Amino acid sequence: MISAFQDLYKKGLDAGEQQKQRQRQLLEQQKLRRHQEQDVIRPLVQKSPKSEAPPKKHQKRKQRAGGANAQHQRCPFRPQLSEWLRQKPEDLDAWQLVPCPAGARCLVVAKGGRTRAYYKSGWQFDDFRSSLPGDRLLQRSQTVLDCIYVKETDSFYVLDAITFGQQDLQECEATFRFYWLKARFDENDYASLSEHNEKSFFLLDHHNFEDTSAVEETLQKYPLWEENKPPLDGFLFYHKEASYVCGSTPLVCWLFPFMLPDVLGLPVSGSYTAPEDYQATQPLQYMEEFDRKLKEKVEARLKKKKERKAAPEEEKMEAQAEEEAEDSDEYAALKGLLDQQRRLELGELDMDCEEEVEELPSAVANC
Amino acid sequence: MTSDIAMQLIAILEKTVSPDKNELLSAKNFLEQAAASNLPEFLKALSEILVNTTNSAVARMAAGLQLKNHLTSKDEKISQQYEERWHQFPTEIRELIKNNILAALGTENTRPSCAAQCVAYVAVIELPINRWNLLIQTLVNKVVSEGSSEMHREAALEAIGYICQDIRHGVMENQANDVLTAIIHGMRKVEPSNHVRLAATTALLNSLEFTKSNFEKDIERNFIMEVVCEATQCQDTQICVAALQCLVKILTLYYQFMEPYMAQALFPITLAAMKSDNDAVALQGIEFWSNVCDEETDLAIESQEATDQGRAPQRVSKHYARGALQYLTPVLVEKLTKQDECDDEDSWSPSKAASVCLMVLATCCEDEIVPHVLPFIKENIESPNWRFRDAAVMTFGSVLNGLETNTLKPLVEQAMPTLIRLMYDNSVIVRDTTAWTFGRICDIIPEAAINKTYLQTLLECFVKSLKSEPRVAANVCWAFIGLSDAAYEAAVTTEGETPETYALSPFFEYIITQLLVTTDRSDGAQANLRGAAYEALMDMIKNSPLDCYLVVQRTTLVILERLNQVMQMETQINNHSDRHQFNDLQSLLCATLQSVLRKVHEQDAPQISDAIMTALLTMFNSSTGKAGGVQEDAFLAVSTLVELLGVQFAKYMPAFKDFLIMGLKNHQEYQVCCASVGVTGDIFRAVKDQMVPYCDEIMSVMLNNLAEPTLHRSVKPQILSAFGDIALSIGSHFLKYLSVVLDMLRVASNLQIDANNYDMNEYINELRESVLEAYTGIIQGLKGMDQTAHPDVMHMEPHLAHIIGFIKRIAQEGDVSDSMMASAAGFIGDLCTSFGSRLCPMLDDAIITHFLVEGKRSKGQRTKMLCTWAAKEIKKINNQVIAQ
Repeated sequence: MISAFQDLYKKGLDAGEQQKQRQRQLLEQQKLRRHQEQDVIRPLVQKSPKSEAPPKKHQKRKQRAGGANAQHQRCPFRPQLSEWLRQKPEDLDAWQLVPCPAGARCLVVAKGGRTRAYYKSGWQFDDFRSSLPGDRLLQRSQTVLDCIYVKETDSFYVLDAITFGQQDLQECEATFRFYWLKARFDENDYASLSEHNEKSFFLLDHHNFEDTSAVEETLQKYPLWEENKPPLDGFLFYHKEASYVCGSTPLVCWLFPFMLPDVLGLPVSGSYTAPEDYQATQPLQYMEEFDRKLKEKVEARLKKKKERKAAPEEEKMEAQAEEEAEDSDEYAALKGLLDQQRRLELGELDMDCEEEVEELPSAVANC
Repeated sequence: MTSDIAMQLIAILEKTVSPDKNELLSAKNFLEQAAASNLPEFLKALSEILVNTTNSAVARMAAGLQLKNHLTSKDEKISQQYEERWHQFPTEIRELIKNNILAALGTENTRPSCAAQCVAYVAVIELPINRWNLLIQTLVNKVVSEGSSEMHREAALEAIGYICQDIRHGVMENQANDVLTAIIHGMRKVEPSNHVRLAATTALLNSLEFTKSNFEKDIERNFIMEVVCEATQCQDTQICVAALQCLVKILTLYYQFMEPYMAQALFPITLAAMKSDNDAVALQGIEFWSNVCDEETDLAIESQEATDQGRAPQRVSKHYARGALQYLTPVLVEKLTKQDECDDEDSWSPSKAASVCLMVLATCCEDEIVPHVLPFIKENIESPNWRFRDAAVMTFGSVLNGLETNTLKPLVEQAMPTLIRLMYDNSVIVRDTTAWTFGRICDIIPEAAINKTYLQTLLECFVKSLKSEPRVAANVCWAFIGLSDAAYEAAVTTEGETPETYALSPFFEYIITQLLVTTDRSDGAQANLRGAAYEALMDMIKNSPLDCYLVVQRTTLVILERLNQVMQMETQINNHSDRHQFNDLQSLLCATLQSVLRKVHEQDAPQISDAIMTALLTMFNSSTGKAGGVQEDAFLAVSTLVELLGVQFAKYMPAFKDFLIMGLKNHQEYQVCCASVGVTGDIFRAVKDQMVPYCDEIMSVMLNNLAEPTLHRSVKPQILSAFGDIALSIGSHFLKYLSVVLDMLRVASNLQIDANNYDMNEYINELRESVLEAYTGIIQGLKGMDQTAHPDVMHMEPHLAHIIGFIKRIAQEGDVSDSMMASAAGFIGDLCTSFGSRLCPMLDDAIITHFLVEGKRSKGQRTKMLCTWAAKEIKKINNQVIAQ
């Protein structure tokens, strides 16, 4: 070579370098996919909602159904479950008030160009297109919204979020999650229906207890939503600093509207009437009675399941198929058995996996 | 003593320069036969002919060349064989030959001396094993002794030069003083013969690496520098160029000693050389300063690193380039105006060297160069003389890389309208330089190019220029790459999220159409235009926002159609160059296919996958599909398709299987093998146990590959990782391969780190990570998806002690990469969930605890998570033990 610098002269596009870069990228992607696959089996979901890993039951179910049948997949996340608000918190200012419409509690997962809605039990009940990131945009990321589905209006009312697109929200404080959601909903129209957005999403209001007048106004306003559509079910109380817990947490609490004067000493609109078995001075008693009734239902159901499990192999297979078919019916039946209200919190029980059901009574007892 | 045989040999040797082809051929055959029948005697005879001054010059020269060609070869392996062969010769013959060639030195009348080459190549063989110890002294004597003839001095110095050039590193250091004495003696101004001075200067150039200890001594160095500097002033251009080459090399080797000479000697000498009308001299002057810049840039980096690590740098820059900047730039820009009118890509000229020197000067001096070049650019960029316009644009384009963004951006924005105008210049050279400058602008500071005020004009200009000469168009393609990267980046609001739209959206379809037209140009082979256009296309597609998806879809169909067309062209290929272009085109189409497939939405995939797979299968089936490069790209395209289709890929397996096996068996072209191993893992992950019917064959080929010593080692870790993918995907179906795979993994996991072999260690680490991935896949696959481990996993129990020992070895040996840490931690967790408390005695261990604690501090999210999880799992099994 005449000069050590000869190659630099009018050096333009280096096709070889471009190709190497592409090959490197592909190798990295293969490695990434391998790791995702390995992590599927590891129970890391609680730690990282970002990982693509659905829990093991999902896999089992998938295999049983014979391939990647999109229907009847289970949700890779668990919604955050509240406890009763038994006493007025000393630091009420550290909490936020969220009014909840009556409907079905669900998680909505937008990912890989689809949006799927799952009951609290983890069963998928809907599959549609939305303009949430993960579906129309940003298909490699995902959005997981904690919602209430109101059948009458075929709309989702958004309580909270575990992730939003690239933003992982699980470890973020509640105030940040709400702020983030509000900013996204202000920027984008997720409510209007279109080819890309087949269902409406409405972000629920979150009121800071520091802002007494706003809280007061909300508690006095009746109906809270126009023409009482949807009707109000109750109020959730979020601790401002709490991160999202996939499961039960004492940092999110629940009250029916008629309980607010007794527990918190806050007046509510007179239109919220208490049921007959509620005694104004005994809210705790009512809560316990409520939980006891619920536990009975759960145990009855569990027993039925165990009987099935004990059945011989062939029957079991049949029973499983049958069970799947029954799921939606059972859901409806159970819903009817329970109190008209409170289904937001307890309406859908886990109907599939044993160990989760076994855990449930204690979770219920904690409510 | 001239025998008949010798006479015959002389006659034959003289025929080696015959103009008659038949005579030439018969001479060649004769010599080959003679060498084959008795090489030692043949070489001895040649040496005797060489040394005998009564023989003709032609015969002696031919004898010398023949002899030399049996001592050394350009092929290193053959040289090695010759060396061993020489050692096999009887001692007396070796000595005879050595005596003859040494005696012949200086007796020839021809240049260069053939005897010198013979001596040198025997020396290169013998000196490293301490033979022929007298040689160097003999050669030195021939140079320095009074009364030694010009031919003797010259030939001895030539021999020294060849020895220095080719001898193994570390052999000559002991004799550096003697050699240097002879060389400097020959280089002196008082040496009457220019031939001798040239031979001496060339020898010096070759000896500079091993005269380090002489350069470290002031007196010796001063003397060497004086002699070299004097030689640069010689009237003989060859000597002058050789001496300047010495200065260039001395500067890079001994930068830290140059201070006393720089201002007084080196600067004026090299500046004058740069200005010389003699191109060879000017080139060395420019080369000197390019090297100064290069060295000082490195020193600046070293110094920065030292500061970052809180220590003093070992060597520091003296900033000669900065000091000389004001003197260098006027000469360089002046050289730029001396362009060759008909540019030959391979020729090197002062104007080209000047452009490159400006680039490195800008890198070295950064913004300081601006005031020295800006006036020239401004004055000449619109000159009526194309040479000055071109030089001005070239100056601008060359210095871009060195400037700070804040300086550069306004300059580029200001220059934009002029540069756009110059893209329509009459002179193709100016257009080419401008297009190259645009390529660099879009590469270095694309944010200045996507400025709204002139974006549309710029794009129109680019698209028009795609129809220009191939080299101009190729540079425009390059510019599109920078532009699309920048436009995309500017539009991204959240990392990893495809933006809705971007600055190029309104023009996207038009640009893509025009790039597609460009890839089809009949002169696309020139200046690698076709390749550049496809690269631009791929980049535009890769960086396309959502509102361009329709065009992406359409492009997919175009590429597909082209794939089909191109295969029909195969029958028309009739020469090697066509074949080469044809293969290149198929590779490019496969690569473009990958880039479009990566953009295709999942729900659109089923509509096109049949057609794509059919095209790829046809390609695998054609004879071109057997060409390595094409196969590799085709496999990579299949990988992309698998990713897109997931489980739906299963239906293609019956048709694809044979080609997959063919790829896995391709040991010669290991990249193909590697790509097919990669696609195997992809398919298993996607299709899962539907792959079971193909498993026996795939596993047997892959196991054979591992045992194959000729297969490139880089494939083997990939195969081990693929075993993990397979095991995880097929679960207990893997049991039948378990024992043989575990044997392989055991062998691989037992390879030991060797602290002295960096390359090997890197490989072993790669291998270890693959072993971990394989074990992970196997255990996870056998354990199954349920919380309670499937009993199949117990097949692994006898191997656990070895496996855990292996993990501990990894943990203990340190230097664990983040991804290895994640693999190991994840695997530890899997072991706990699979085997529970029985592992407690093995896993509850200080080494592992410490390893996981380290891992929790990792910056990698996955590593941190897996280490935390693994630690928890260990704790869990501990508690179980306590509870028992």
